[in-house]
Amino acid sequence: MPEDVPRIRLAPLPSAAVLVVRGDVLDPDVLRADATRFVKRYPGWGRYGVSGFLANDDAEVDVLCETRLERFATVVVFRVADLVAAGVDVVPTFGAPHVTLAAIELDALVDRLVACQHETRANVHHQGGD
Amino acid sequence: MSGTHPEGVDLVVDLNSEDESGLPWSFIDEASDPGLIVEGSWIVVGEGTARAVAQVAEIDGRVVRVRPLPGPVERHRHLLGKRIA
Repeated sequence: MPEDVPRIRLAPLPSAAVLVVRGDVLDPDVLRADATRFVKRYPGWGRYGVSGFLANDDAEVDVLCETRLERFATVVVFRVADLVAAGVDVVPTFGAPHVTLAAIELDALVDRLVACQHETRANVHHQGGD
Repeated sequence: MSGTHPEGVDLVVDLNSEDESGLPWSFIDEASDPGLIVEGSWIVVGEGTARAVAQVAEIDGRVVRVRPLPGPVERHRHLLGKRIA
């Protein structure tokens, strides 16, 4: 049976990791659906969460766009410091560079993510066609 | 199935997501037709604006893990409906 809490990496976030990247645009309905699915999967953790990926710099953002996030025409880039200041926990979960952006309340998580300063970038590696 | 199901998507999956397997995942009740969700089968997954053809890698209780292919759905459409396990 799947575990009811996400696997959290023992090592803290690397200090050089200043960016969090997530594929697609910041659609509140999608964020809400993803966070609800997450808490349904991991009810023992007591937090809503959505996935993102750490990057040290723009070169690593580009690598993520070319690999893990290739299927997205756009990506959203946050600064870790802005997320933390907005009240969003950035938790290193599963395999690096994956993170979970988390908060206890669903509405708070969605509202904070949407309101948090971010940059939406076109993914030049996206092959389109859909 | 929860919420509005996107047109042309067999299984709603956040393609940002991963779990301990390293693969994106969803729940079988997020499928348009749960009968399509068989280990080894090829389906269209996605959410929001993202779509991909993916192979159903594992079904673990209600959890479905998928292995998406790079590139547009059209490139891999010939795989849909097949089962290679």
